[in-house]
Amino acid sequence: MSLKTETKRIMTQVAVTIGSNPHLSNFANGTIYKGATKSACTPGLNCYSCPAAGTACPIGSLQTIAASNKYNMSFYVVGFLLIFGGLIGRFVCGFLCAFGLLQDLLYKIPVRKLGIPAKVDSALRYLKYVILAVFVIALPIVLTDKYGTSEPFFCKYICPAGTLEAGIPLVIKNESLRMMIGVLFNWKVIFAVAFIIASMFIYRPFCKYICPLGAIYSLFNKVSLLRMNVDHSLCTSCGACKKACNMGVDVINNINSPECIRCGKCKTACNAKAISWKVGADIVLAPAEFNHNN
Amino acid sequence: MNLVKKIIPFALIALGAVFIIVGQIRHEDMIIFSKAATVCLECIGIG
Repeated sequence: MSLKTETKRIMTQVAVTIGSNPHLSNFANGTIYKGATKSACTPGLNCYSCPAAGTACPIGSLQTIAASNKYNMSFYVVGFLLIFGGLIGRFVCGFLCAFGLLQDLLYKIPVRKLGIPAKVDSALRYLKYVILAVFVIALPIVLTDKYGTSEPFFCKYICPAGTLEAGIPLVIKNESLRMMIGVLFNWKVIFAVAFIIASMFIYRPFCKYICPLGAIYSLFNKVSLLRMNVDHSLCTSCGACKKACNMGVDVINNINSPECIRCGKCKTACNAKAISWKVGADIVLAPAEFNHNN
Repeated sequence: MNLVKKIIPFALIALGAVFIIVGQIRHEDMIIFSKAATVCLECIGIG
């Protein structure tokens, strides 16, 4: 008997999470890994101060370069993002992100789920682009000290991944860090707890509204090598795909929407087998364009 | 036009590879390593 698609996805997420965080013994020691692989970027959001992390977080790395007094823009990190984005787009969010896995698991907790009003939801979807532009790119470049250096503003004031993966484990094990706790740490813990609670009621609130990495990969969804495809000759317009999509994508009309994390739930829900993965170099047209051109 | 669209993902991937090499020439990987191999106090909510 073959495993369900969703089970396969969770297993992939777990494997990738462990693969990018292999140094688990560091949790017990209260230290972090310091090997050479720390200079390479992981595809998903994964704090490099997590004791187990074997690679660097691309969002943290972008800010590190922007906050340095040498360069404002990192060719190195953008290079990784172009490769991951060009190959698979937001498949990273659905399959390769440790923080996405955490949110998926939290949403499985059986509590009554909340629906966000459509207008509020669609407005909030733009927030992640604002956070990317302001906290990841602009502030580390603009707000510099007399030495020309700055801070990773997204990591410092927003990112709950840093708090959950790194801050809390390291503070528990290090008395010297505990002595330094202040207002900022309290704010980050409150934000992280609020995020955990929200993730039980709303599907992937961080990915939908806040994640700057998701915002970057969303720009690649329509042009990446791996995409989703609807065969309109098979589609019965039953709406099962749209109902199955937790990201609120209009699957039939815009399957490669910037909001699609390519979890494949629409494909599983489609009894007509009209939805498929597509690995190819041509752009898949939306139905309106399809009809126009044919 | 269709050919241009077909080339886009491959161009992005190739550009990414070039950018990584340029970044290494500029020693950006070393800047990232020095940050990632020490505890980032901002990231954990301390500094």
